[in-house]
Amino acid sequence: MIGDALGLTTIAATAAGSIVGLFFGAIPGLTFSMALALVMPFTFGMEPVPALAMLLAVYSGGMTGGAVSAVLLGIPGTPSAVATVFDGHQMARKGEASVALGAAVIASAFGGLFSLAVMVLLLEQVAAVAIRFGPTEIFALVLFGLSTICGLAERSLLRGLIAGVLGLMMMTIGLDEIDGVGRLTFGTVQLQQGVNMLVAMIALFAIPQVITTFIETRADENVRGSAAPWPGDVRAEFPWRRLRGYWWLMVRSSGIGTIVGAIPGTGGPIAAFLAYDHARRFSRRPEEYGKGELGGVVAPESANNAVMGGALIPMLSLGIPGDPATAVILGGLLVHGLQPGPLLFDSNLDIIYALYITILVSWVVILLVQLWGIRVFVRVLRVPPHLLGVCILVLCAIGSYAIRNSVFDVYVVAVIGLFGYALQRMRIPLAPVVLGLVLGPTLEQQYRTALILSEGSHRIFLESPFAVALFALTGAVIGWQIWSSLRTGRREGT
Amino acid sequence: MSRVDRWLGAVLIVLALVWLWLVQTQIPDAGEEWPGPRGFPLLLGVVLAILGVWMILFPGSRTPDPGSRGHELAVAAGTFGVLVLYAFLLERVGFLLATPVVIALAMAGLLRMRRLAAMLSLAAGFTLGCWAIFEALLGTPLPRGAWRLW
Amino acid sequence: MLRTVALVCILLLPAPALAQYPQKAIEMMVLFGGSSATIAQILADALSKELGVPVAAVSRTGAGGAVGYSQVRSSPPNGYSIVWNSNSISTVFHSGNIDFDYRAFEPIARIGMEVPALAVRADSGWTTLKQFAAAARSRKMRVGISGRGSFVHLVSAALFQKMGVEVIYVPYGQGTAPAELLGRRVDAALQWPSQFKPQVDAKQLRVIAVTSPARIPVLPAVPTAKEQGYDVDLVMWRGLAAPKGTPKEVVTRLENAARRVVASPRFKELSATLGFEPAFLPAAEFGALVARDDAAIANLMGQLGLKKR
Repeated sequence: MIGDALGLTTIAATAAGSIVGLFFGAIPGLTFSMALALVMPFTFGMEPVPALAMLLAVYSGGMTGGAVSAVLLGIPGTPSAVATVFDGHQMARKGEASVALGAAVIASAFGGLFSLAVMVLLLEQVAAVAIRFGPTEIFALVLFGLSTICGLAERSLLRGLIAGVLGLMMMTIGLDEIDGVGRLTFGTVQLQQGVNMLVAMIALFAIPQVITTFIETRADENVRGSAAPWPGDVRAEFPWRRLRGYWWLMVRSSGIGTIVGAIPGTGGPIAAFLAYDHARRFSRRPEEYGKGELGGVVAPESANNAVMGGALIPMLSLGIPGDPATAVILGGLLVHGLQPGPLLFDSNLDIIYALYITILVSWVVILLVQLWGIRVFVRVLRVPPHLLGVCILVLCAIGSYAIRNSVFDVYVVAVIGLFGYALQRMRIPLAPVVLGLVLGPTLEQQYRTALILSEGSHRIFLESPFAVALFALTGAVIGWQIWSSLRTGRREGT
Repeated sequence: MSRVDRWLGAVLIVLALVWLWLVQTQIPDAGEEWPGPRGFPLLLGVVLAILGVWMILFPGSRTPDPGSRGHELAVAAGTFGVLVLYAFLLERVGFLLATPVVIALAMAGLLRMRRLAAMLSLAAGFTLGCWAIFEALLGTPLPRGAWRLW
Repeated sequence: MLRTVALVCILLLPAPALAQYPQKAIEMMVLFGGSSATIAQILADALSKELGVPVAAVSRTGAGGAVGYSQVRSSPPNGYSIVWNSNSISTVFHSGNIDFDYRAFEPIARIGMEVPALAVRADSGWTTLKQFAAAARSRKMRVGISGRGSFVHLVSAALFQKMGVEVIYVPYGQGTAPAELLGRRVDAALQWPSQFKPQVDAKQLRVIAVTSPARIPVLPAVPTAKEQGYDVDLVMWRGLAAPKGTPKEVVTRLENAARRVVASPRFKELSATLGFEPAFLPAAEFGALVARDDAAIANLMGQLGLKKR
C-alpha cells in the first residue's frame, strides 16, 4: 500500500486531481466541494490509494486555486479565499500579481504541510481537543472573529459596524436550520434556500468593481492601466526573498488553520479571517494591511490550507467530517471499504501512511504546477480592463448559477451587486459585510444550540473556561479599538 | 459632508424599521423560547436602527461628498439591468443563446463600443470558451433554458 | 464567423422525434449531501450503464429539499428529470414549506432504506431502552437530532412518546452526532447507523435500539424498539420518482433498470460499505408505501405541533 502511494498511477491521479481542483478553485462560483462530487464517480473503479490521492489532490488544488482569482480579479474563487482578496488584489493593482500569487502558493503549501505534520504527530491529541468544542466554545470563537470588524472598518468604526450588521442580516434570510421555518421568504420556495455565501461574495467583490471600470472607460476612452483595477503585470518576480520575514507568521497562521479546521462546524473562511486579523494585529505595520501587504496574503492562505489537514483529523480519527468537502472524502473512503475511525489505525495502518505520503506528493505537484502556472495566469491582466469587465460580469453570472444550479442566484448577484455599489458610494466598507456573511450563520446557530442545551440559561456561556477567556479577549479588542479610535479622532479633531 | 451622512442615517433607520416589520410579519413565532427564529433578526434590526441614529447625531466631517454624476448612476443601473436580463434569458433560452446577446449588449450599451467585428468575435469567442471549460472540460452543467431551443 | 453561424443553426435544429426512451442524458436531482448523495452517485453511475445514456446526479440541496422538489415538479414529465426522493417529501410538505405533496410525483421504485438508530456512550451503562427510560425519569435527557421537524426528530419523538419520557431535543448540524455524544454534550442521539459505526466498533458508543420492524444487517446484535416493548416502526425509504404525468412506459423502463441495479452484487457491496440497505420495491407497491408513510408522518407532526398544513 505504501508502495502504491509512490506508484505511477497514484502520481498521475494526484496530478490530474490537483489540476482539476485548481480549475474549480480558480473559477469564481466553482468550488472544490463541487469538484470533489464530480470526480467521485471516477474513483469508484480505481484502487483505493490512487482514488484517495485523487480526491485529496482535488481538495488541496481547489483550496489553493481560490487565491488565483482572489488576487487577479479581486473575487474569491472559493469562500475560504475571501480574506486573500483584501491585500492580494491590492498587490495586483500595484503590479505585483505574480509576487502575490507566488507567495500564496508557497504559503498554501506551507500550511498544508504544517497541518500534515500535525496530523502525523498529534492526531489523537488534536482530535481530543477538537471534540471538546461545543456550541458555547464555537460561539465564543466566532464572536471573537466578529470583533475583527473593528480592524476591517478602515476609517470609521461606525461605518464598519453598519456594514457588519448588514452582512449578518443578509444571512438570516431563508430556511432556519434549527426550527425549519422560513424567514423573510415571502412564501416563495426560491428564497427558502437563502442567500448563498459565495454568491453574495462574488456579487459584493466583483460587481462594484466592474461598474467602476465601465464608468472609467466611458469617462476616458484611453484609460488603460493606472486607474483601472486590473493593470498588466509585467514583472515576473519570484517571491522567495520577499517572504523572508514571514515564516513565523506562516507557522502561527497554519496553527490557527489546523485547530479551526479540526473543530467540526467551523471551516476555511472563519480560519482565514482569524489568521488575517491576527497577522494585522501583530504586525509592525498594521496600517499597511488592506493596501497590499504581503502578510495579508500569507496569513489567510497558510491558514485556509492548514484547515484541510485540520478537517481530516476528526474525519480519520473519529469518522466525523468537519465540512462538506471532507464529507465527500469520507464517502470515498467508505466506498473502498475503509471505515475511518479509531479502528482504522489498528486494522489499516498502511493505508494511513499511504494517505500521508499522498498528501505530501500532492503538495509537491501543486507547487510545481502553480508556480509554473502563475506566468500563464497573470496574462489575464493583459486583457484591456473594460473587456475583462464584460467577461467578469458573464463569469460571475454563470459561476453563481453553477454553485446551486439555480438561475435565481443570478438575480441575487444583480441585486446584491447593485447594493454593494451603493454601499461603496456611501463609503461603507465591504469587507465587514463579508465578515458578517461568513460568521453570521454559525454565530446564530451555535448561540441558539447552546441555549437549547441549557434550557434557556445563559449561565452555560460562563461554565466553559475557554469560552470565558475568549469573551474577555473579545471585550479587550473592542475596548482597545474604541479607545484608539477616540484618541485618533481627538488628535485629528473630529 | 455631514449632510450626506445624515441622509444615510435616515435611510438606515427606515431600512431597519421595514426590516423589523418584515420580521414580525414574515417569521413565525416559536413561542416563549428565546431567541427562536425571530430573536436574531430582531436584534439586528434594532442594532441597525441605533447605528442609524448614531450616524445622524455624529456625522463624519472628514469624509468628502461622493459627488454623484448622472452618468455614473446610469452605468450602475445599466449593469444591473444587463445582469437581470441575462438571468431572464438564461432561464428561457439557455446559456449559448443568452450569453452572446448579453455580451454584445453590454459592450454596445455600457461601453459604447462601435466596432461590430470585434464585438461579435468577443461575444462568440467568450461564449464558446466558457462552454468548453464548464461543460466539456469540467463537466458542470450550464443552463439550457426552459424552452429547450438547443 | 461563418462557423459560429453554422454552429448556432445546428444547435437550433429541433431534436429528432423521440423514437424510444431514453435518447439523451437524464438528470437525477439529489436533495441532500452526505452518504445519501454518495449512494445517489453510485446509483446514477449504474443506471447510466443500464440505460445506455448518461445519468447525471445533479445536486440541488437547500431548504430541506424544497427547492429540488419544486424544480423537478415543474420539469416536463418526459422521464429526463427524475428525483432521488425520500420521506422528506412528507416532512417538507407538512411543515408548510412547499405547497404540493407526494401526489405531484409518479413513483418509480424504492431503492433502499435507512434505519434510524439510537446511540448512547458506551460508559453510560445503558444497554436497553428500559434502562434509558428509567434513567430519563430521574433526569431530563438531552437527545441530539439534525433539526426540528426533520425525520429523525419525528422518529425520536415517536419513540420517547411510547417510552413515556420527556427529553430535550438538541438540533445540531449534520453529521456531528458522534462528536456531540463523545463530547458529553448530549446523552443520546438518533441518527443513521453508518455515522455511529466507527465508534461502535471501537466500543466508545453503543446502539441500544433501531426503529425498523426487524433487525438490520449492519447491526445484527441490536434489538428493535418493538422487541423491547415500544411499538415504533419508522424507517426512511429512498427511491426514485418522476413528475406527475410521465408516460407509463418510461416509468416502467426506469423501474426495470433500477431493479437490475439494486439486484447487482456490486451495488449491494457498495451499499453495505456505506451503511445503506438496498430494498427494491416496484412502482405500485412503492406508491402505496409513500402514501401510508405520509399519513403516519402527518399524524406524528400533528401531535408534535409541527404540522403547518
